[in-house]
Amino acid sequence: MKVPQSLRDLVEGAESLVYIEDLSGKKGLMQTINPLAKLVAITSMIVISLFISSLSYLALICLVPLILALTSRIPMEHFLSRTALIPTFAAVISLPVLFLTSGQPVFAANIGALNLTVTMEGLTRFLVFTVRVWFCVSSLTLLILSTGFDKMLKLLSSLKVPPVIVQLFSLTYRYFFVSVHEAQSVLIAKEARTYVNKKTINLQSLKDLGSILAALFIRTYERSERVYLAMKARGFEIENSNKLTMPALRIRDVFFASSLIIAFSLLALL
Amino acid sequence: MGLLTALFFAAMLLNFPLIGGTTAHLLGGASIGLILGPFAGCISVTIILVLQALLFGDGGLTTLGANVLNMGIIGVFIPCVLFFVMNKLFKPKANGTLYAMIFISAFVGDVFAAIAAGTELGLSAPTFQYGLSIAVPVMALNHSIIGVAEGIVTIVLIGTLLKLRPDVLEKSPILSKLPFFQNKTEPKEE
Repeated sequence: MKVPQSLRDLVEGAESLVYIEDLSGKKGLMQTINPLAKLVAITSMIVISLFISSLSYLALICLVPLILALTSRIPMEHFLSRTALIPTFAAVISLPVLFLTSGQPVFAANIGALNLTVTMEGLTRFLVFTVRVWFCVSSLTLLILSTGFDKMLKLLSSLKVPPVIVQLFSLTYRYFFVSVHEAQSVLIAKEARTYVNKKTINLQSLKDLGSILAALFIRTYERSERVYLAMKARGFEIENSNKLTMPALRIRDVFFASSLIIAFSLLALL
Repeated sequence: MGLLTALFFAAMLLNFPLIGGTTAHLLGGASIGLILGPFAGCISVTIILVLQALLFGDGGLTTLGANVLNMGIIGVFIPCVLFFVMNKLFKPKANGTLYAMIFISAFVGDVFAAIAAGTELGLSAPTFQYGLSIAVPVMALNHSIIGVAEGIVTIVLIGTLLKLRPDVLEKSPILSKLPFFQNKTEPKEE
């Protein structure tokens, strides 16, 4: 049976989230670093990378997430496949820059009446953009894979984010799986009962999508009422729900974050 | 609100086919805004965007502010304000007028969010390779197609909820202002 594309997307999304929890429990370098130090280091790395415009330096900093992933026992195949999608999309949308940037020609082709010339400047801009996107996505992926969502919530709480917002993140994350499961059931039921032309947009498919959303909305709303009442019955108070503390920063955490920030800052200044 | 945010997060993964074999997904700003209200809707979309950036690498951290402005503020507030104004002007009693109002709100919200994104991209030139003259029309045109789809889906969603669970929509800060709910609640207040 052919699995519909939308269903596949949902399953893939949920599976990738489950994988996060598995990897954050491994004993690797990044897993032993304090989440606050990791957050500061990786956010700084991403921001500083925006100021590095040399292709060779960008290629050099791309080694950092790769080395950190290796030392954190994150399977390289999974890490590379997970970080490939967004840079590929970025490469596709920046393809025209190869031909639109004026400069020294490195390749020319005539396709009918169209004369396409790739310039060195265009190629450099294209590569700088794509490599930078990969670096940012891989750094962020490394942070999430090595930390896990539960510790990220604790980190938010320790950073004085309002408890309501932390609770909303927590509920959204937890019930995302339930929503995905319900959406799957509805989509499979619909696929089993109807024929849909998936090649082009049509009014019926949009009406179906609206109806599915409405059905899911009603189910979710009714569940939310049950969950809320159950939580209240067990003494839930939003103010007391996120009294979570993070372990104190150690010297190695400070060293990890500061060494990365200094190294990246020096590269940006060169 | 957390559970509904999770639902809309999952709903954003549902693709529908577009022209030329490409697919698109809902922005959801109009649906979330009209049902939860603009302020709760804005928080809801922001949480979805943060989770998308952290869990899928989609959107990213450095562009989070721009994404929140485009989809969380413009994409939610414009449909809500438009719907609110049209409701005051037309006071819909028939479904046709109500559905037209929902469609216009969702469509304009999508297109304005896209125009805002196009403007930000255009202003990023020369770092971004296309200037305002290219980025804005391309984004507006592309998202006007998605806007039509979003409008139809939002009509069906809210229309179905009005038929099956009007009590849910009665709690909405925007939809509760509809004459249907106002006329129903007035006698109770007296």
